Amino acid sequence: MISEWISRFRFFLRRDLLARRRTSELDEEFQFHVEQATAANVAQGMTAEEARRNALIEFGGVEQARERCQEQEPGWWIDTLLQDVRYGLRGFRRSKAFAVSAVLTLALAIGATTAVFSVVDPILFRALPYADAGRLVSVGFAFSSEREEFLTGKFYLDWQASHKPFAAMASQGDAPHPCDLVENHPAELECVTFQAGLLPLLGISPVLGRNFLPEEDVPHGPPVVMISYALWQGNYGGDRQIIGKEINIDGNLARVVGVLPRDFHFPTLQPADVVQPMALDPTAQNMANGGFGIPMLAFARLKPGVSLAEAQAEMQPVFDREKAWLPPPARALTRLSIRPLREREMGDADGAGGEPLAAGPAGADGGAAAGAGRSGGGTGSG
Amino acid sequence: MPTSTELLQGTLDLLILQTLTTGSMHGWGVAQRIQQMSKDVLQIGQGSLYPALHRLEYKGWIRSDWGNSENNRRAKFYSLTRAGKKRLETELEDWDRLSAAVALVLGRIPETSS
Repeated sequence: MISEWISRFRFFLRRDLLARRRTSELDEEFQFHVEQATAANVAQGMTAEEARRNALIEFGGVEQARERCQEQEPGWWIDTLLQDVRYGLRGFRRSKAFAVSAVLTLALAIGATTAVFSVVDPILFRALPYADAGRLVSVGFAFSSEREEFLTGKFYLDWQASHKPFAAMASQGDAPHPCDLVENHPAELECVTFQAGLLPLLGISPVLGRNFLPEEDVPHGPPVVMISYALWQGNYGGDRQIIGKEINIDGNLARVVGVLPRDFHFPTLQPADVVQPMALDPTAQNMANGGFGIPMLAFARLKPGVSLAEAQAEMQPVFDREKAWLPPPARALTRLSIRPLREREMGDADGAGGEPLAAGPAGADGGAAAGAGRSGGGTGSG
Repeated sequence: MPTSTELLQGTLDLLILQTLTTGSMHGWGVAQRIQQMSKDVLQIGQGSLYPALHRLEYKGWIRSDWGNSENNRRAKFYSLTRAGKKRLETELEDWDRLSAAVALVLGRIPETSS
């Protein structure tokens, strides 16, 4: 067995040097064969000419025999492959326009596929980076024109008070919005708000510092922020002393209390650099926006043993009661939506997939604009 | 010329290895030898003979050397390697088992209870 491999290896190494010589050796071997056959025919009483003709006929196709012999060599197809490649390259040199467009087409296609896949891969094929992610749900009202469920402040507070099927509920203010870091190194950032309860709901702890305290997540609470890992590394060089420092967002000083983990994804998958406490004010929510309150995104964790259908059934009476508040034309278009967080993220993935194709930083803006458009639609219907 | 008999897949390798046990031989010699030994029943055409010889050589079971033939012509002589001898032994065992089994199935020999 080993000797077989050694001899294969030997043939493989010598193949280029020997290829030509081997062909002539094959020819010589065949010629010898034909000569022997001719001699044998003569011995049987044929004339020399007849003998040679018969020997050749008996031998058959020389070229075919040569090919079949060469095909016995291990790795013979490599030669064929090289020939094909050389032929292809010659063709390219002849028609350059075709070559360039073919290469460009391939490059673009491969690039686009890779880009889309790298965005979609963590969303569709990996587990969500949250603790026990299977029990996380996105909850709220959905409209026929607005597939992504949301709640307005008034109803969110109502749900939170009567959230029987949910072990916990927390909210993120709508989509990230542009904000400015006004410092020695100013930067355009994306800011978002969420409740102190959102990180515990997702099972996430800050990589540095701490989450918002309940007393910070109240109206007129102390100004505090958490920052993303990317902002920490990019703007503050990963300095651990950032905790407790004040940074200036849109002209207002806020103390940094925590840094989010490097692989943290917001439930909407939209990136943001700075998180402020939502500081939900019940009085204000019952006044704002014609008494409905500000639109927000609500997430919850199903109680152990409670299925999606059970949760829906339990929340249906609450929803029916609240629907009565809506103007009659909107009622028919509104439905209760409780669905796995993953499903929502997959729905968002077609939006997310477009971002890397947009040129550079515009991608983030595009995402924010899409989010703003969504919240506008939601308010209009409500 | 008697009609040539189709060879079982892999049988040609066995015949070549067996033929070469008597000493080194060129391709023509191997073909002639097999024809003689089989009383003209087996005629090995060059179309299968030479590919088989080359295949066996690449597998390391036989080796080739250029030498002079009986009529003083330069010719390629094939001889068994040690790996080839070992291979022949296992192929012979396989052949015995196979032919006995086929004969049993075809009912050509009465089953002997041993």
